[in-house]
Amino acid sequence: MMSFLILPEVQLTLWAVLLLVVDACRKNVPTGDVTRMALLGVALVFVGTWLLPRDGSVSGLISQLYALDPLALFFKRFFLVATFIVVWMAGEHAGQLPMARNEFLILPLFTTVGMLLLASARDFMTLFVALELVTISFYVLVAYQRDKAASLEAGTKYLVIGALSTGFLVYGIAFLFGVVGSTSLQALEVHLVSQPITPALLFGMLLVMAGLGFKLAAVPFHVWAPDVYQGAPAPVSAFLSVASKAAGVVAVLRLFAFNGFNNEILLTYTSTTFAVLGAATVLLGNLAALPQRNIKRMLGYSSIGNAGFILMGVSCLDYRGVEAVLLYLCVYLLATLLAFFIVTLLGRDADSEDVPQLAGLYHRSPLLAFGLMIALVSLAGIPPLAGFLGKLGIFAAVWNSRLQHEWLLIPAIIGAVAGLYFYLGPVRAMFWNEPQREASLLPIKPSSKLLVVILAAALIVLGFWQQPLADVIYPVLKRPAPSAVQAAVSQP
Amino acid sequence: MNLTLLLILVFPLLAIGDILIGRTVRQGGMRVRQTSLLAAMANLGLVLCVLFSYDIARGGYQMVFEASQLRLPFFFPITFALGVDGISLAMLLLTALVSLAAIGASPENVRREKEFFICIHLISLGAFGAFLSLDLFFLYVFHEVALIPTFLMIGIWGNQDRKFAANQMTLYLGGASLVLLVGLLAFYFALPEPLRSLDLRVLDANVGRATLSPRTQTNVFLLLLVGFGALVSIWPFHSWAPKGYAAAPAPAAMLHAGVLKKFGLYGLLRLAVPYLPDGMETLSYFLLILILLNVFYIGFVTIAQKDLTMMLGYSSVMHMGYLFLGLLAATSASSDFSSAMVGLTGMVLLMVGHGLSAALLFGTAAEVRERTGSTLFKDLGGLSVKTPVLGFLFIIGGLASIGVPGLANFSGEVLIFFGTWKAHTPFVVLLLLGLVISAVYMLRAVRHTFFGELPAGVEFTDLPAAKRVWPYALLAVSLFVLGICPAILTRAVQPSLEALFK
Repeated sequence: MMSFLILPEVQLTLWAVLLLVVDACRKNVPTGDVTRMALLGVALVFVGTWLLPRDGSVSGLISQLYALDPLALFFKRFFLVATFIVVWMAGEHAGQLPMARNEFLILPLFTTVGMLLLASARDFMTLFVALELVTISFYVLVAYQRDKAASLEAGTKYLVIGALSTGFLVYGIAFLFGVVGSTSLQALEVHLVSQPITPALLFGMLLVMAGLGFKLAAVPFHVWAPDVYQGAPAPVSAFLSVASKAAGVVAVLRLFAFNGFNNEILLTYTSTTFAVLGAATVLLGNLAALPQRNIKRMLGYSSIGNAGFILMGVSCLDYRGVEAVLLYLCVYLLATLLAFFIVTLLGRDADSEDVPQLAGLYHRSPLLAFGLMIALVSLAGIPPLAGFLGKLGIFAAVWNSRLQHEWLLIPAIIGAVAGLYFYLGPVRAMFWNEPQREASLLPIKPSSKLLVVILAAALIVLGFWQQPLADVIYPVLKRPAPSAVQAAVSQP
Repeated sequence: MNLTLLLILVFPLLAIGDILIGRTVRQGGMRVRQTSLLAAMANLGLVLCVLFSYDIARGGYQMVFEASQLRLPFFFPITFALGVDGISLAMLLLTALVSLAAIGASPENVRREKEFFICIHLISLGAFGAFLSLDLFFLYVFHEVALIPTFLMIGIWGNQDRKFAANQMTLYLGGASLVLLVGLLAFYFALPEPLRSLDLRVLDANVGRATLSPRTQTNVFLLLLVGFGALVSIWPFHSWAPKGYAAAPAPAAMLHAGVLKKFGLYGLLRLAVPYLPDGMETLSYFLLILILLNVFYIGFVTIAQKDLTMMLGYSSVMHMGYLFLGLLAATSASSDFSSAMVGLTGMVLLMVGHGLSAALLFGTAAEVRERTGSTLFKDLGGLSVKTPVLGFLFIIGGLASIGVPGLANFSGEVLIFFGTWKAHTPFVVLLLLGLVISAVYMLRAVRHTFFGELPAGVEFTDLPAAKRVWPYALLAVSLFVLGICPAILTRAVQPSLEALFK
C-alpha cells in the first residue's frame, strides 16, 4: 500500500524524467508538444489524487515521515492546479527564451514534486528535503533568462537569501531535535503538550519560523521578493507568488496552527509573533507598492501584502483562522495567476513592463484589460469578486479570535485601502488613458483566451456562489488534525 | 419560490449581455440606448407590480426568493435571499425611477457608449441588489458592486478634475466600507452564539431590542455609524461627495447621489433601529451635534460655492442631516411610540424625495453644462430666456429640495420634525432655521443660472422636444405625485417600520 501513498510524487517524477529523456534524445521537439505533454502529466496526477486511499490511514515506518490527511490532499491539489496554469504560462513565454526552451517547461514539474512531498511532510527531514527540492529548482527557474542582467541579478539574490534561510531552518531544526530528541513532528507535538516550554525550544521554533518566513515573503524576510519578481520570467514570478508561498503556508500550518492548542504560553508567544509579523507585512507590502511603476514589481509587493493577511489568519491559531487562510489561498491563486497570465501575454510584445505601458490597453485588447482589471480588483478584495471572501474570512477570524487580536484590523484596513489605490493604478492606465501606440497586440491563442475567460469568470461567480470553495475546504476542517496527538497524550 | 424579485436583477444583466454581444452582431449607437431603456422600463414596471401586489395586511418580507448558499463550519452561513417589505419597496421604487431617468438622461453620442451603459447598469444592479437582499452579506456585496463602475465612469467620462475626484471617492468609499465591514462583524459576533445569523428574517425572529448589552450596543453602533455614515457623507466624512458628484457624468451623479447614498441610511434603519436602540440612545447627542454641523457648517459652505454642481453636491450632503434627524426619532420609541413612527416614516419619505430631487438637479445641471460648457455661476445667467423647459424642471428640483409643500420632500421633512419635536425641541428649532440656508443657496443658484443677464456670446438651445425632457419630467412628476399622495408609499412603509419595534 505504501507505493499508493506517494503515487502523485512518483507519477510526476517519472513523467518529468520521461519528458526530459525524450527531449534529449530527439532533436527539435516543438515547444508546443512539450507544453501539452507537461500539462497532460499534471492533469493526470491531479485526477490521480482521487485514487489515493480515502481514510488516509498510514502505518509502518512511513507514517512517521509522511501524512496523507485532508490538509495534505488539499494542498497537493492546490499545487497541481497552480502548476497547470504556470506551465501553460511558461508555454506562452517560452518563445522569448534564448535557449533550452523545453527544459523551462519541465523544470516546474520537479518543483511541484517537492511541493507535493512538502504538503505531506510529517518529519523535519522530509520537510527539509522537500523544501530544498522546491528552492533549488527555483534557483534555476528564476535565473532562466540568462541573457538578461535583471534575471541573473534576481537569481543571485534568490540564491544568497535562500541559502541564508536554509541555514536558519537547519539551525532551528537542530535546536528542536536537541530538545525533543526526535525530528518527527508528532514527537514535537507530544512534547509541546506534555513538557514544559524551554528557551531552547522557543529559539528553535523562532528560527524555523524565520526559515519559513522566507518562503512566505513575510517581513523581515521579504527583501528578496520585489527584485526577484521583477527580474524572473513572469511565469516563474507567478509560481513563486502562488505555489511557493502556499508551500510556506502548509509548513507553517502543520508546524504551528495545529500545534499547541492546549498550551497557553506557547499559544501566546506564537500567535503574538505571527500577529506582529502579519501586521508589519501587510503594512510594508501594501504601502511600498504605492510608488511602483513596474507591474511585476508591484505584484511582488502585492504578494508580500497578501502574505501579511495570511499570517494574520495564521495568528489566530484556531480552526476559524485555518479556514480563512485556506479560503484566502484559493481566491488568491485564481486572481494572482490570472494577473500574471495576462502580464505574460502582454510581455510578448511590450518593450517594458511599466504600468504606463498599459495605457489604453482597453482599446487594444478589451479581453486582457477586462481580465487584468478583474484580477487586480479581486486582489484588492473588493466585492463582489471572490477576493473579498478571503479578506472577509481573515477579518472575521481576527475579530473573533480568542487571543484578543482586534488591533490587527487597523493595519489590515490601512493596508487594504492602500492596496485599493495601487491595484487600481493599472486599471486607471488601461481604461482612462488613450493608447500610446496604435499597434495591435500579437494574436492570442484561442485556448489562452479561454483560460483568461475561465479564470475571470471564476472570480466573478465565486463571489456570489461560494459553495464550490466550501466543498474544497470542508474536508480539511472536518477531520481535525491533532487527533493523533490527543490519542498519543491520552496513552500514558 | 417566487422569481419576480430575481427578475429585477436579471434585467440589467440581460441588458449588459445584449450590449456585449451586440458588439459583433449589430453596430449603431441607438441600439445600446434602446436596450438599456427597455431593461430599465421593465424594471420600473416590475417594481410597480411588486409595490401594488405587496400584501400590506400580512406585512413582513414577501415574495421571498431563496437559494441556499455557503455553509462552512467556521464561516458565516451565507444565504442568497431576496425579499421585500415596505421599506425596501420605497427604496426599490426610488432606484427604478432614478435608473430609468439616468439612462434616459445619458448624453447622446457619448464616447465609448457600450461601456458607459454597462457601467450604468452595474451601478443600478448594485443598488437593486442591496435593497432586495435579506442577507447582510449580499446587502454589503451588492452595494460594493457599484464601486468600480463609478470609479470608471468618473475617470473616463468625468469633467473638471475627474482623476482626483475618482481616486478620492473610491478610496474614501472603499475605506468606509471596510470600517462598515468591521462594524457588521462586531455586530455578528456580539450576538450570543445560537442567535448568530446574517439573515434579516432570522435576526427579526430571534434578536430583540435588549439582546445586546447597552455597552456593546454603543460600541457596535459607533462602528456602524462611522461606516454607514461615511457612505451617506455625514460630517466630517463628507469631503468625497461634492467633488465626486461635480466630476461625475450626469447618470453616475444621479444614481449615486439619488440612490446609492441612501444605502447607509437604509442599513442603519435595518440594523441600528431594531437591535441597537440603547446604543442610539447613548450616542444621540453626539449624533445631534454631527447633524447640526452637517446642516449649518455644510450649509454655509454651500452658500459660498461658486460652481453649480459643487453647490448641488454640498447641498445633498447638507440634507443628509435631516435624514439622520429622522433616524433619531427612533430613540423616543419607548416613551412615545407614535412620534417615533411619524419621524421614521418621514425619514423614508425624505429618502425617496431627496433621491428624486437630487437626481433631477444633477441631471438638469449636466444639461446646463452641456449647453454653456461651464457650471461656474459667473459664466451663467438668464438661461430661462432660451431654455424655459430646462429652467422649469431645475426649479422644481430646487423647490423640492428646499421643502416646498406639494413636493415629496416637504411631507418627509414635516413628518421628521413632528416626530422629533417632543424629544429634541431646541435642536429641531435650530434645524428648522437651517432650512432657510437651503432656501438661500438654492434660490441664489436659480437666480445666477436661469435669471439675470444672459452672458454674451453664448449660443444654445432648449431641451430638444420630448426625447430629452421625459427623464426629468418623470422625476418631477414623481415628486409631485409623492408630495400630494405620500400614502402610496406610507401605507406599506408604516407597518414595516412598526415591525422593526416588535
